Amino acid sequence: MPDAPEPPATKVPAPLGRVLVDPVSAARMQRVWCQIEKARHGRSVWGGPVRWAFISGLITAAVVLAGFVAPFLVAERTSPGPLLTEQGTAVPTVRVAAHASAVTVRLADESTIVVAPGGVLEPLASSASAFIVRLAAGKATFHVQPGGPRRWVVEAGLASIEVVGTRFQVDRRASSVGVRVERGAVLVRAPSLEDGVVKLSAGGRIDVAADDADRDSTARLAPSPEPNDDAASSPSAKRVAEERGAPQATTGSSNDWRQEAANARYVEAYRRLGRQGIRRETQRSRAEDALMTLSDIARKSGHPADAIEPLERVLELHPDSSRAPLAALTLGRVELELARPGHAARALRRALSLGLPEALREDAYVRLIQALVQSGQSRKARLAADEYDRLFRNPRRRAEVQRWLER
Amino acid sequence: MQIALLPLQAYFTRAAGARRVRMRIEPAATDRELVQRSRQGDRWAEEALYQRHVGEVMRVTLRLLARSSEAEDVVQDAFVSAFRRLDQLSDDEAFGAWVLQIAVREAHRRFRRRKLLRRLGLDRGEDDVSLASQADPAASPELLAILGEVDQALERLPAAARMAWILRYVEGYRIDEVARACGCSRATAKRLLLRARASLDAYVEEESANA
Repeated sequence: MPDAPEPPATKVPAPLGRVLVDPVSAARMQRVWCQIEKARHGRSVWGGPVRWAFISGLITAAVVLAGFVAPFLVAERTSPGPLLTEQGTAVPTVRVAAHASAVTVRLADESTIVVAPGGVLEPLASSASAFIVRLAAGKATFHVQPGGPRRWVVEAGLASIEVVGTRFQVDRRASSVGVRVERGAVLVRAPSLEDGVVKLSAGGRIDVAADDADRDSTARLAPSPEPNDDAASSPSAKRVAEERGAPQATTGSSNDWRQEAANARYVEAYRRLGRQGIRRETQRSRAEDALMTLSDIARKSGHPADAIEPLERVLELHPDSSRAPLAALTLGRVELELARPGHAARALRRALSLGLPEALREDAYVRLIQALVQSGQSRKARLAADEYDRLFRNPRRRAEVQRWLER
Repeated sequence: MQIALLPLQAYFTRAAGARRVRMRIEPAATDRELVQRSRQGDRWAEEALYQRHVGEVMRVTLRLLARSSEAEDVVQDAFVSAFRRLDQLSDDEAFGAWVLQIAVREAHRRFRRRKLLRRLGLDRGEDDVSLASQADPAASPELLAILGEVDQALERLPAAARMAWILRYVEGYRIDEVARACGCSRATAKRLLLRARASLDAYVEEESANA
């Protein structure tokens, strides 16, 4: 790059994107595409001038209202400042000896942190909007006052836990982190989770572990009493990315493709690997995550045909993995894209039989119907459509199914 | 009607009256070709354009707005608007940059609106995609703390300066790319970046001194 950015502040690496994970997930992209399809091709009177007239009216009303209300609100608004202890001092680093009794830190907002024997808790940042602590070792129980203004984050190595108001316990061990929620809900973020995050409700429990055997990280999620909204974060979508720093199968410049893929530069990663490289790495690798990365590189760089082999290998080597259904669905989509509807139908059937997350099942059915129609299996397509009607009480893509059946 | 006869990357059939129409797209269809096909109402080409560019547009928008729900709305609006106004696109090859520009402009508008609502105490949204929350899991605690500080400092910046800073220092765009995405001149982009840097450096230094 001719003018690489100079550091934005003395201590900040530039560009920061290099130390961040890509927040974009396939489920999110698919969700937005569904909305775009709806907006572009759906029939709605709630569009064009009507929508804009309504929005303009709302904005005008809001501005008028704000004119009256703003002075009062601004006058009364006070900044809560950083979160302190109930004595008004900064939250200290707490180290509890293995044979000592637990230490309770009482905070000014009536939240409490109980650090168990052997635990080490360090505050990282405390402000009006965030309170971030690091559980360096051991176990701690957090009772966060609900409704507070701050985002609470507990960094625990393999996972970070984000919360608004709840009671939960974090247990950091040598090679794993356990989180147990007693009240409320928390978001657990870890690279080992599909999309990097899972929501845990009261009674929920998760154990994020680094598995030294194959150098993959693995997350095991105990059943939660409440269903999880996010399909990507469901128990069946928990298998994970190859741990950073793990020994690689290749050396030297051939490792660059991993770096490029980690930075979501798939075209560049493919350029480095090439078709032969994808094939070679696929043959060489048994790790599910590496295989999924290879398929991502092929698909997202515009070479879907090269994604087939790694996806098939995932299904062959890890048929019982929680990511197998997603691999089968992706394979079905790639086969469709490659105009091989017969293969696509088989892969999509397999994805459905392996137990896809709820949010992806509807898409799988629609694509299955499409594949069956395109491969000339009209009767099976109608049966699949009947199944679709039975399974989805509020089908969002019924019109699309109908269009396929009419072809 | 056969549109192309190259090896298949994608292929599907559709009824067109009594005839079946086969459409084929070569492995590396360019943006220009996809845009031209989209203008003719080809929905596959639209989806291909979307799949090709949504990753970058979504990532940038998420980082600009730091709120996933708003970012999804912006990305949706940007693509819908782009597909509706394809006739106005002068360089078909530049579809990606164009849709990104639309998204950045929309994000800017939403960000200003959010600031106004926040001043009025009416902003109920929660930033769920802060920089700190996107930190590499292997990041050091020091880096996490710095990212937290940067998040707070960014909140105090004017919308335009924040956008320019994120594009430049988070996404690593060149100055001319920042200017294009923000829809301003190169000189204005530089001015915005200088202002943002000064403000952020001062904040980070101040926080370090207080620590």
